[in-house]
Amino acid sequence: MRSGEAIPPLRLVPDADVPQRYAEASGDRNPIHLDPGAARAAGLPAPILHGLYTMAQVARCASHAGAGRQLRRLAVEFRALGFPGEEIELSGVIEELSETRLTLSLVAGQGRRRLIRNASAVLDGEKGVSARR
Amino acid sequence: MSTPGPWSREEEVHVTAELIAAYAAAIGEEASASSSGLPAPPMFAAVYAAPAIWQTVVAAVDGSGPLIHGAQEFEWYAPVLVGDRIATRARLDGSSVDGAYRSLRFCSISRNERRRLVSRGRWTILVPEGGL
Repeated sequence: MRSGEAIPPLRLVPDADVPQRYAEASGDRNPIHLDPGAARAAGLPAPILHGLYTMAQVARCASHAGAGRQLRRLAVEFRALGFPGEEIELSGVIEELSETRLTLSLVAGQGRRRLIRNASAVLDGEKGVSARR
Repeated sequence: MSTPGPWSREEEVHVTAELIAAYAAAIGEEASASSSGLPAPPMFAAVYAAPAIWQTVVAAVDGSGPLIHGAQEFEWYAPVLVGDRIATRARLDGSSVDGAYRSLRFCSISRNERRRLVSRGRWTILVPEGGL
């Protein structure tokens, strides 16, 4: 691993039930994620993915690249709405790598839509060492 | 730019194995932390911070139309394990009008039952002035 190197991409297709499962797990039951009628009333073509679900995928991609390092900070900008049933592709680049810190920049997209841009992740700790209380 | 609002009351979430497992399954995390003693996934912060942050958001937008998540940042400190009781406070940090959107910035601070800092969140919520 070195600065400028791409990290392994993460690809997944959230199925139609993901918003319901995420709503139940997270407590975010905003109807624009669950109810087609509510989504249409809000001007959307269909229920959308929770933004924090997509951010969780960015966190997973960063953590996988960190190979045991602890995620300490993650900042994202949401730029477009995500929909179930379409592949999400997450990719990133190593911005900085030292003995104690790994900094990544990441993006998440669905087709041509950039769901998340300017994501920045900071991981620290030695590779393979779990966090302690 | 406006001045920060008051801190919300503290909202506590008791972290159970079931809560972590449901969250891990919802995001597709196969290695669930619930039964292994490992920490919860970092983005589990969206679960334990939710009661405090969303009551603060709802109070700030006062029944406005659809809300859009504009940006999000978390910083993580002490890990979250099964059995923890995570208490979160939130507040409105400021607001501004950016084109067709009203932008509201919130922050959340979460601590465990030993009062150790667990995470900080910065939440930017956009309210479309004329609907989506």
